[in-house]
Amino acid sequence: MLDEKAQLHTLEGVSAATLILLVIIYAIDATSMTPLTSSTSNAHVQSELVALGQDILNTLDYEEPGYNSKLKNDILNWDGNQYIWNGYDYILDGGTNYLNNSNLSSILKKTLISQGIAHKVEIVYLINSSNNIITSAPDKMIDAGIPSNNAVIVSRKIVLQDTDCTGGGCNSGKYLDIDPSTNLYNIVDIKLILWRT
Amino acid sequence: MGIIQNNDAQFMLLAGFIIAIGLVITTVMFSSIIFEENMAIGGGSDPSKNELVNLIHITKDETRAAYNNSTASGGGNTAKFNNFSKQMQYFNGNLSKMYALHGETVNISWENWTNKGYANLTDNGTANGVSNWTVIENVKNSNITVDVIYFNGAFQIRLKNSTEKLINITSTGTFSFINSTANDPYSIAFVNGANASGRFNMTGNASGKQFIRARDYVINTTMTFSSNRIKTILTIPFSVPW
Repeated sequence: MLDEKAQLHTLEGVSAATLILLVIIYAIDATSMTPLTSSTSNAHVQSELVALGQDILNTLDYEEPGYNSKLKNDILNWDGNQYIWNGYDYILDGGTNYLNNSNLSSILKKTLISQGIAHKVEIVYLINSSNNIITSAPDKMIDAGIPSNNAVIVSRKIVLQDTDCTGGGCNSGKYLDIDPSTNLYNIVDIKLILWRT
Repeated sequence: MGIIQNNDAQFMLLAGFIIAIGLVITTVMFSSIIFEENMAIGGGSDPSKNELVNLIHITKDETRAAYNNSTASGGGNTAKFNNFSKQMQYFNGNLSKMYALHGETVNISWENWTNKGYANLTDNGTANGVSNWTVIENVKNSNITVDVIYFNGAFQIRLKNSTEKLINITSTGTFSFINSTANDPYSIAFVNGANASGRFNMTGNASGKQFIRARDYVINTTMTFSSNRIKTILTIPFSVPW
């Protein structure tokens, strides 16, 4: 027996259920979508941060023949302490000294601080452990707490020579000569971690 | 008058409604897929590009440092190249450990520069490089030494500011020139650099600070970079000592 009313009711039920489902999905998406939610728009934010971070490091790592880059000078002059942003400047964590004469801190203030982008800077280098050369644990130069799940990391490696670490160079006392038999002193990886708050 | 119940019309309306919803869902789905594909491709290639730029940069720095160190230590060509290779091998081995942290591998190899002649006096030191090129601009004073080993025609050094001075090199040999100016900075350029090969060294003051430009050899250095996405092999000619 062909019952058109039953078919009609079934179809109406299906279309009503589809409508309700779409409304629920839309409502959930709309309320939980923030710039940090893992999504296509967040991926776009991340790629922008990567480009910004790489530009900062590339700019600082330019050098003329016979001169060190600004980034290398910062690594040589760093005192090995951890600094944090106090709303005005980068200040020694638990102290009163500021991170002075740092090209890195100057450019971070102009670019990231002004845009409200949270950031930290970590330094990884090589250490000689029982005649095995291994990489160190990250040392924090600038700290800003725990990054969000959507943080990005950009890095830049620089090479130090024996001649770089004489006469007051290599202030931190952290990176040591991994190869006394040649002029190679150490390889340092500078990691810039960026995230939106 | 009672309401006329027309089931066929209701079916048609409902069918049209369902088709419309289906079209919207399909459009949104395809749009998302295309966007995701583009994001995956665009986002994935960028980190490797910057890693390669950094690898070239530090390899150039280390090649120059190893060359300067090996030539400063004296001795014959074999001893110099052994010193150079020792430092480069140490650099290569330890750099791999740094890259291993990121799940990448690198390997660096270099040529024996003691067996090759001095570089051409072109912009990049190769025979096919640009022949007429500016070495440095805005110079106040300079001390130029050119050691021409091979000569095959006209080769000049041009000092140019509001006037122009051409220094003609007409044979092999070592030539030195000192030039200074009080308030009219000049640029130093090589003209017909492909006609000669040898070494040059320039020191002095430019743009308010000391400068050095020098070249003995051009060392071809090969860098192999591998990640889970790409494998790249690059051979770059690095000018040494600067």
